[in-house]
Amino acid sequence: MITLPTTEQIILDCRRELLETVLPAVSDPAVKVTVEMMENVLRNVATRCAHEIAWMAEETEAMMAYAAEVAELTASDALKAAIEEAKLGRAASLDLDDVRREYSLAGEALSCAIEASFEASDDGLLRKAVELLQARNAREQQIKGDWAMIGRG
Amino acid sequence: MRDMDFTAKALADLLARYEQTGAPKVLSCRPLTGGYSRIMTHAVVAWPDGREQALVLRSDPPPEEIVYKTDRRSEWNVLRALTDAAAVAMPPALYFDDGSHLGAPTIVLGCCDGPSLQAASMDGDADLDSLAEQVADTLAGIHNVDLALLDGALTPPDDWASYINGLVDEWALAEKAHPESVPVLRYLSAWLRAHRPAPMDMVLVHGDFQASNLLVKDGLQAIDWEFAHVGDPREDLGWFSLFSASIAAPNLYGRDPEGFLARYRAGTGASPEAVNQATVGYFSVVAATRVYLSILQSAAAMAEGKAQGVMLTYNLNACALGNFNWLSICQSLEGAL
Repeated sequence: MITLPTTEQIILDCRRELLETVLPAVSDPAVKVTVEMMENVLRNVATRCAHEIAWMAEETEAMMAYAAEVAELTASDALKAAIEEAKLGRAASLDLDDVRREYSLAGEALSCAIEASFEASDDGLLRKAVELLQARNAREQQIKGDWAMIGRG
Repeated sequence: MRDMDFTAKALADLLARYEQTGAPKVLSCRPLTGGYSRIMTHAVVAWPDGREQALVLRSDPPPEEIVYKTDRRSEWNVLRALTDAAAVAMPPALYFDDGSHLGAPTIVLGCCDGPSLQAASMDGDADLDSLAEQVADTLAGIHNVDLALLDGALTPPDDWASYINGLVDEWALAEKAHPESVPVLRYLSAWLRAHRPAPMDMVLVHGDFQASNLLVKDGLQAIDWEFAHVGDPREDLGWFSLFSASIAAPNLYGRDPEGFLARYRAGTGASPEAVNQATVGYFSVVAATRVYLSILQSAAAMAEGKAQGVMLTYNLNACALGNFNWLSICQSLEGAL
């Protein structure tokens, strides 16, 4: 398969075309806003396609490690079930759908672990949960990039 | 592109139904930008006596492009009751179409031709102190509305505790119903449950009280009431504080939170124990439930092939911003609540 230019580069070039060729030719204010939103979404998508499989794989490992740690220290049946389900749902391939499904199951295990940590009022475990969530949020911010409410105000 | 000829003709038909003894002629229609949830149209009509009037049409988008699922008839009932009671400064609600004329449920309002507060505050000459005071006064005015004037347009919750528990639980319930896990929502739900502040009397809550939903004309006029409900007054304060910190305009709350809240308390009689920076911070998370979960539900619908539109994917960025902000807020409030 052809891999260069990368998917990210192709999408960013479409974005450039949209900004430099299409947008100046648009006069309808509502359509202009739509094009500006498309530009933003293309930037989001470019970052996602470049990194999302690697990021999800990394986060999945960290979330499952945390869930296992909480399961050792608490007695949450929901958490144990979520961990079991995540183990059974391990990705069969690196296809995006498979990796995404596994990531979501690991996310459920993390959620159950967070709830068990709150239930146990364990500040140490909750601090670790916050660190995981902050790392996840940081990547969401990277995907979001510069973002303002286009067309509002 | 929207068909303005169709809209003009349909509006004329609607007005003829309402104004049987002298309907106005529709002179022009043009799309309005600025709203995210509804399709907005500016119209100018001429009455038989020669008087011209500008109107604003607020319509539902096609079902597959709806990001925020709210009901126009319910909004109309609220707006009509507030208009009849002259209880709040806002453009008057004039006509309602259930979709039989304009093709989609539509509210027709009088037009307020002032700039949004967001735009006005970005003017270099703006008196930001005065604008912030006007915001606090406007919000106090909304929260002081006698609920009896709403004439049953909104149903009050049974009690504060079950209402707040319901809002807090909604984060977790919606996350569980979503086709992918969003752990930060489960964290927020558990955190909010563990840090509930003291209750307050429930009032009319605007539900999307922020600078682009306030027009500067003879004071401030509140628009976009689709999320109006009876709830905790700090929901509006929290949403305003969060929104003000998230837009590229002067932060009318954040520049002097104590002054803003003192002004609000003076206008409502609220106590400093109930309304303070910590409780407003708490409600900046709680108040986001409706908007955030609407976006999440639309994302789920798109994943199932039941929704479309760039507005929807574009708004996912607001969720990312929210995830970041709310977690940060919870961390900053540890120990204060």
